[in-house]
Amino acid sequence: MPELPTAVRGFGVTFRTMFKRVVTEQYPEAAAKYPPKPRFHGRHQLNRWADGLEKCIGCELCAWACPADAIFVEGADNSEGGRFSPGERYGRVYQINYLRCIFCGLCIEACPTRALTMTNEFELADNNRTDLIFTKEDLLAPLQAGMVLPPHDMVPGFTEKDYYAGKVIGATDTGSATDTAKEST
Amino acid sequence: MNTDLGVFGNDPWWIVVIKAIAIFVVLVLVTLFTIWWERRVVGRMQNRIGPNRVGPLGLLQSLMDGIKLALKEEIIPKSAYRAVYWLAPVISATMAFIAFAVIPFGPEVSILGVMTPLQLTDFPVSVLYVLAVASIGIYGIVLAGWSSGSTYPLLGGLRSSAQMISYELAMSMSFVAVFLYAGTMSTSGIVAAQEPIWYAIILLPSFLIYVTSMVGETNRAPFDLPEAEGELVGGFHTEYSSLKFALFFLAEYINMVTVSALATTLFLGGWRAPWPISLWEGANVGWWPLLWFLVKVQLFIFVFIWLRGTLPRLRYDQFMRFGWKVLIPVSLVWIVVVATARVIRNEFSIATEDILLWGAGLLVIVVIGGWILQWRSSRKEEQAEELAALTDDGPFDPMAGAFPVPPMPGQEFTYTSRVSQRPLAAATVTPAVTSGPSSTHLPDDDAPKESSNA
Amino acid sequence: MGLEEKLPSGVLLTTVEQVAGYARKGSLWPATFGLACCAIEMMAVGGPRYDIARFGMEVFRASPRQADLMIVAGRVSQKMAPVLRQIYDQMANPKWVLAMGVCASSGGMFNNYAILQGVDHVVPVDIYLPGCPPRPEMLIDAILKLHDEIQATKLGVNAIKAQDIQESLALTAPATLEMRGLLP
Repeated sequence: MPELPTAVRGFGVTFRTMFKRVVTEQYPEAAAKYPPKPRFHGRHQLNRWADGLEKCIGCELCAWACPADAIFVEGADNSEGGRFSPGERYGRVYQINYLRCIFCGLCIEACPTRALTMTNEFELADNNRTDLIFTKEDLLAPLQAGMVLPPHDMVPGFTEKDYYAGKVIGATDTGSATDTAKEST
Repeated sequence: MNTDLGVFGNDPWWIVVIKAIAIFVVLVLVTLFTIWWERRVVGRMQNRIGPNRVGPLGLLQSLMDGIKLALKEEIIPKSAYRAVYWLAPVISATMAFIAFAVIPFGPEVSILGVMTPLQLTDFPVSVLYVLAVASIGIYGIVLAGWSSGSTYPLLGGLRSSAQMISYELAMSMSFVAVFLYAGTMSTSGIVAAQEPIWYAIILLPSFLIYVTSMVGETNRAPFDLPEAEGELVGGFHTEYSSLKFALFFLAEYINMVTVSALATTLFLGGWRAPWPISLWEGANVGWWPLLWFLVKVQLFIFVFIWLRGTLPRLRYDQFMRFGWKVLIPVSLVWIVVVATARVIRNEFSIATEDILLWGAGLLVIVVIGGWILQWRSSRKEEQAEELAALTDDGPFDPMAGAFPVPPMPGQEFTYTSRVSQRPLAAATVTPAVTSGPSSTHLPDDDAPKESSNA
Repeated sequence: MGLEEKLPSGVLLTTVEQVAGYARKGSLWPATFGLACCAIEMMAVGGPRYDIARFGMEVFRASPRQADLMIVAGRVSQKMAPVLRQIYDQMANPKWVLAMGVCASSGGMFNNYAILQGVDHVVPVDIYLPGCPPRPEMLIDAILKLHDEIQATKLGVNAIKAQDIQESLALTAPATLEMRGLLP
């Protein structure tokens, strides 16, 4: 039997499609499906060590790696009583301009201390340019349980090498860190 | 087929007002519903949902479109001819509304104690009236294009006028067969004449021609060339914003409803109940026919949406060729056939049903026969092609013309280039040359060697 | 039409504001205007998986006269800038602009002489959407944020009041030169 002309078969296609399940993901409501895949490049985050000290050492490697010139870093020296990160330097000014950032992740690759990582947060739209320049307060990871807000000293008996080696597993575990912090503040 | 128009024109004035307002309200509501329905159905046809945020199930979507358009700024281009620019959407919208005056919604019913037909008015040439009003509606489009003082609207308007002239011819000729059978041009008379059988069945070619040309008449996809956004930005309404654009929008959808209602009236028995329901005594009295009518109109509107969801827009020359070289000749021939059948009935008193039954049988045989013949001839062609391909001389040589060429139909591509593919090439070589591994064409094969192989 | 702008302030005006905002956000027709890679994501938003039609926005108008929203999807070259501005001027009020992607927002990684460093140099932008290109969800998110703004739009005397407040805020706000953050 000869086949129906293709022009007629097209009507069958559309008619059948009407009764198929729709593939639409209703974005704001079906939020359970979001964030997307874990590998998704979203907003950046500046991480902390387990005792709350910042991982960023203000080395500006991320800023140099950035192809869009979206990152601005200005480092400063840690001082006694004003310690934000283990070691010598910390990032005093840290800004990411999300109107420039292309979410390529080169800054993450460049970061020597894993201070900078990316979250899955993507709802970034805003109605002015100023609010889209994220500063350090916006980017810093929130304090987890046991972390203490810097500035405070390193855990007693530990040097920055111990931090980088991952030996600091939490302010509560090392016991004295919280006390030290209280004394220093 | 008595066409008694005596029931019209005797209504008290307030009944006329009620009817007119009812038609207006029904048309606006149907338009609002149709826009939403179209967007939902097209959405489903494309595997998505469609508007579902504004109001329950998105039902208020078209209303919100209207309010928003009303609240938008009114832009009149400096080069526009202001009076005509203002008048054009008004013509379009009003003509769309008043065409509905002669469409019968139902039989005689009692409105507040007065027996009156569910139809604003009717007169002996009301179908011609619809055609005339529809043509005036086109003036709205043409004038809009002309008065905008801009290039694209002008092109859209011109296209529209050409399209209307071409398709209204075919449309009116499809009506002629109906007139010949009904013996009247009044819409209520045509509905009455379809009591035994729908004209869509006995006048199938007319029906198909009408359905095709009504899509062209309403500027709907795939015949929406006057507003083809790929070519003409927005066509005739490019320069229109705010309420004036909303009027065009409204007019387009009302025209859709109007031609659907006309199709229902002329070919699908109007407000008469379809067959299984018509067995029920009360199907064709009272207010029920209004339901059948709206359902049939909705059916046509679905066809409109279906067409839009399925077919791409035609190119302009294809579109005109289709109108002038297919629709008009076919309808002319069909009118001759119908007229002959009528004459035979009148002269030899053979029942029309018999003639049409035989005629339809003959038509079916011709169509199926033609189909099969075509199929067989195409099969033969295919076989001939296959045969030709088999007997084709020589293997395919991709480098024959000193530069790479793709294989012709029937030729088989053989790998020629790399050493690693040599065994594969030897395996897939065509039977004409199985002389040996030398038949695999290496790039370094020179031309004389090739010809000796062949 | 302009009538809504002449209403006296009071319950009537706020009600009309509510209805107008609802209608405007419920039927925000974008202009057919795509410039670069972001336009592909914008088309994806129109496709079945994300389906912008849910918000009544699948009506991409080819004619700017009938469009409400201009999604600047992609980098704007210096040569395109006047075209973009013309399209914006051709749109009827009220109109909104969405700078989609970093190129439209600030020039993005194309910090060079050929690319406009942000579309807000030529048209007022209502919402900026970072990303290169943004996911379709990000675009929908930006559109929803714009919807909220549209719903809160004032009319008539209220609009004038809101403008006055904004102006006074702008006058007292520090200049860009003074906004140094942590810098000395």
